[in-house]
Amino acid sequence: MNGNSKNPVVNGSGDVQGRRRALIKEKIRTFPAMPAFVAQVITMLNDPAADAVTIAGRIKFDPGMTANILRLANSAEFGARRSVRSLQEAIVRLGLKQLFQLVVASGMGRRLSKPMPGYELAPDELLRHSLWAALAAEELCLALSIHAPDMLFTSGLLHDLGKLILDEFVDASKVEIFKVAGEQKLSFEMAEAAVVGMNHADAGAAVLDQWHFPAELVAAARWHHCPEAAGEYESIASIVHVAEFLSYAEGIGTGIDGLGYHLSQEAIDNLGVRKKDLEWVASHTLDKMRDLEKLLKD
Amino acid sequence: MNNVIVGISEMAVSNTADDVLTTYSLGSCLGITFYDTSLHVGGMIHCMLPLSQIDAQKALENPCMFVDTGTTKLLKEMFALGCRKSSLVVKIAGASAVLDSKGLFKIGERNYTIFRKILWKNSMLIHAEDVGGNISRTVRLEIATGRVTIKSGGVEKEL
Ligand SMILES: [Fe+2]
Repeated sequence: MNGNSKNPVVNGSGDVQGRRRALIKEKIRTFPAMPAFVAQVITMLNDPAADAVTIAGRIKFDPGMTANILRLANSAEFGARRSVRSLQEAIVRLGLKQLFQLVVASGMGRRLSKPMPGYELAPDELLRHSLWAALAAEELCLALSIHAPDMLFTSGLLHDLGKLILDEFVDASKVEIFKVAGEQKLSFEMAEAAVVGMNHADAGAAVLDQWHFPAELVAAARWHHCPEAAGEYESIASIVHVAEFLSYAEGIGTGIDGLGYHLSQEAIDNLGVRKKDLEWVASHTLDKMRDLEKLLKD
Repeated sequence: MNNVIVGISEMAVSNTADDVLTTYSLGSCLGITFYDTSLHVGGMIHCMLPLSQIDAQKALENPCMFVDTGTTKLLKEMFALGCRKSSLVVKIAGASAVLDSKGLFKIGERNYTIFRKILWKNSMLIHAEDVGGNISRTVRLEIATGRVTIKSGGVEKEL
């Protein structure tokens, strides 16, 4: 695992930092697997041989997911002229990409809803931030007329997964993190790495890697605060970076860290983002967000 | 006490003494409160973007999204309840900035500027404000008293 190259080291605290990093690694190793059902469906979705019948055969055992899929397939977004009643038909109408997004969002929703005392996020706030970033990432592609990478929505959704790992460590070292950030003029994720030994982007990427998610998605999570270092995945990391930044600017999921990140000017320049694009994306994302929250409500 | 939550791009007007209007986690968005001291009517709006011209369709569907159309709508509703410009106390909060050296994300600052312009056109003044910086704020307006409080980073203060 390659660490974020921007991570600074606090002089003289190498030992403490090393011990904390070991604890974090242990927590990553023992982090609960993806809900089994989600893992199975994702495997199926990545299997070229699986068709709507096989996939429906697995999903029908999960009533919540079945309801969400039917609701989405019948929503205005899919221009439903005729209502769809069978799960199989709904799967065909949505297509694999949409289905993948929905399965991950429904499957991970509960975990991302936990309150996080370290980052000072109320219950559901990380989920809202994640959904917002995922939707804004897609809207940004529309605004810029660029092709949205396949894994974009899911990358947006899971970019901050590492906060689930780091929350307790951030909670224990909050004062220190702010001190380091202030004294060294560091953005939050750098101070995080300097104090607790790893930043939330690397922690999240490690979990996603362990779950065997596609490399593109792992890279987007790892580099979402430093997209210019993402190599071949710079584009997806940049889109997620700008989308997350916009979410914070709008006060969505802004915990103690939200307004303490630095914008990557490289990402802005490479994508060619203009002020009016950001405002357009913000207004459209809000509407999409309302629809999606309704859909995922239960 | 009855907590009325004002979400992003939403507004609320009340003359029920028991109500407290609350809007959470203002980032670059602008939280605006109006309070009529003689009628004890209060209004709050949480605007996300400065100008409605960015998306005319959206402005029609949801005028509260934008500072220009939102402020006008809130004022109208308050006037409809008998409020008078001369007795309205105006307090605002939010318009934070994120760390962006070139100012592309200056949405907060633009929200604030547009609001000042609108007030100026209406010959009204801001009585108190807590804006800018890199912080997120929660604002409450008590209808019974007109008291406005700001909470940020666990600390609450009166505006
Ligand atoms: Fe992040």
